[in-house]
Amino acid sequence: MGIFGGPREHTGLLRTDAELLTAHISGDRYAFEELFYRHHRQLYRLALLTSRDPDDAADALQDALLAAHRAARTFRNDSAVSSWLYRIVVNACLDRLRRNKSHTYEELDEQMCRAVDPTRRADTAMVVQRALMRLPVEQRAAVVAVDMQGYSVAETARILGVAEGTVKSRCSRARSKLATSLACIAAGATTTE
Amino acid sequence: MGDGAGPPPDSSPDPAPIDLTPELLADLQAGLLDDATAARVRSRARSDPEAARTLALLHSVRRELAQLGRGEGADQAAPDVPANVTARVSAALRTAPDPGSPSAGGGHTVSRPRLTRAQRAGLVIGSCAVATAVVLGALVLTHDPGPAFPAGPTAAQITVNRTASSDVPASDFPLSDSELRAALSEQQDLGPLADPQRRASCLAGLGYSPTLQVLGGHAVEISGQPGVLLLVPFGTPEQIGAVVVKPSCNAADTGLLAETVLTAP
Repeated sequence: MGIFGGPREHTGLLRTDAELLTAHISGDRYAFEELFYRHHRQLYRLALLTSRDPDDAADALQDALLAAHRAARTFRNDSAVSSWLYRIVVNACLDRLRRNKSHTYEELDEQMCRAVDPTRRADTAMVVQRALMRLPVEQRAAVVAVDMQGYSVAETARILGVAEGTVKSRCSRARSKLATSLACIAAGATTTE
Repeated sequence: MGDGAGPPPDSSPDPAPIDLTPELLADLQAGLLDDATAARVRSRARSDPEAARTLALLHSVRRELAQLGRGEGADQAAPDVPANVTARVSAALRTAPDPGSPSAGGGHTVSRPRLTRAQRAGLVIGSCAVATAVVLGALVLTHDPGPAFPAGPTAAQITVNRTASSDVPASDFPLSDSELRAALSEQQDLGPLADPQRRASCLAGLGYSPTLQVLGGHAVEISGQPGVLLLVPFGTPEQIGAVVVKPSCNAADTGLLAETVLTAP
């Protein structure tokens, strides 16, 4: 029965994302929840990366998924269902950032290198993500939009309600700091958190 | 890889010396520098191994971020979702109206005859407008009014597709490392840039020596835009610079669409 509370329609075969979305549109009450659970870690990660704090991320995630739940019929099959969900979550978070602009954020300091996992076998993805979470949220949001989601600078500027030069500057600062993380790993720095 | 020596040092006198800091190189990558300064920085960077390594690192950052965005190979990196978050979202989804019910804002659950393209387009536009109004309206009611929104579209209205943009190189280089390496051994097809004078003008605009040997290249497309891939020696013998420019690339307007650095495996 699983965590979704409803009987599976297919005996032991996992439905694809597209099948789940179609089932949801057709009235399957648990299909969208299953879709959420299948991708919930990546969705939550994206929400965390583009929110000021975990509470904001949870709120934005719920709002975004409810919006996707309602707007499922608008999915145009021109991308993967997962990509569509990722984009909706990021959009929702960036919209919240634009509406709640604040200049109070934790600036990354020169101690960043010491906070990086020192082992040569460290998962680069974990390093980058950890370094991302230490960035000011405005810089984080810029690289999430441009580098992770593929928005152009112009699109990102519209989403965030800032000038294109501001987006470029935030991307530059963010990438420079993230590059420092990767350089730390390459150099095999020994640190502790 | 040609003689592997890279481009000749910039022999023209610098009006002002350039300090190739990581921040300056990041500005270069982000498209913050004017064309003349960008060309000078690129030219200097190729003869500076440390700067070349920094640029390669910056390109690695963008690749890693793109992979994170796709959720590739990073299950261990994705955070555990707090149980209360999963529970509340699941509960909200279970109690949300059926998308086919009237309270969900339109449509019905019975099977319908297949729609024409025009009818589907109209349904998409109408559904987007309803969904956007519901979400934005609910958010406005629960938050203090913020700054006035720009007149342009909100994020909820922006479609999934990436639109072509010439303002900054795309986050994903259009070719993988293996495809770039394959291009080194294939016959070059540089299109309009096969002409030596046009190619020299393009290379100069990019900050390269006009006589730099192009190691490989062919036509590519980025988000529907035609481009030309050029592979050239970079700062160290282990590195190859890869750029995609518009076919009209010249010294005044390179039309740079994407760039990356390929490092020998």
